[in-house]
Amino acid sequence: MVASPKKKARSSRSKPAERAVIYRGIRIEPAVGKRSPLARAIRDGFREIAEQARDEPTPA
Amino acid sequence: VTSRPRRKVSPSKSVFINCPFDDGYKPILRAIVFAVISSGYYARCALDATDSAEVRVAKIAAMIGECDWGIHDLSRVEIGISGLPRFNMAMELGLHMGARLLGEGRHRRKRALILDAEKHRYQAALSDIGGQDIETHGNDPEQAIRCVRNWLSEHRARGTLPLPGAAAMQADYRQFQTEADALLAPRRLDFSDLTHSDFIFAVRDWIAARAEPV
Repeated sequence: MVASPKKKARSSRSKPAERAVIYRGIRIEPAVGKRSPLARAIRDGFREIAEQARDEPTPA
Repeated sequence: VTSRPRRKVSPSKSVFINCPFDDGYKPILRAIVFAVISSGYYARCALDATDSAEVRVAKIAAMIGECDWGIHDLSRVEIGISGLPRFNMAMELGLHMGARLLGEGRHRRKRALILDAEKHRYQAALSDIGGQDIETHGNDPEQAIRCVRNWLSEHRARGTLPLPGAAAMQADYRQFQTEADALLAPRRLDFSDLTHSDFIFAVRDWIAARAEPV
């Protein structure tokens, strides 16, 4: 009996494509190109700031 | 080694920015880029491929061809140390208008926003551009945001949602700068140290962090 072929592991280099987002009702197109290490660090920092802002309780 | 093909960007979503690249102008360029991206367009300029100020006319012409929209800032067309004005911006505006007037197909739909520092200043040097969309920013980045936002809003396609107001976009830009500075300070970097490419990603990522997925 022949074993079924193993699913090919996803290459660590292939990343999901960037997607468009909606901000203030406007569709913002996905970024083009490759981020530098600094750009990636800034992106992660902005995400953290935005998450902290979402977690903060809103005043009654 | 083969590199991944660059994502094709629609000309109808692309805005070519024709402006100087010196440090003195940088705050206005960055404000314009922020307004373009937060209005849902791609900001293109000769710095896309390199952060060097050395650019070739063929590259600029190709980029103008790939963009239905163009922002041309003539505010630095003034007498310099050499005793002559810089003609690059005026020449690139000429390329854009030439494509619109003499080109075929979509080139005929090209639109241009001409920016200057003072009202009617262009009439002394380039009176033939009368009748175009000409706005003044007074060398103020926030006014540049207003000019770009209002122009893109005016020419928005039917059935699309209106753009956020200029005041909202200006407030967003201030917040973006504050948060970027806070992230960069521990790295001993300043907001103005960001390369053009890093700045574009930062704007897009700041917006994406606050946005909803499509």
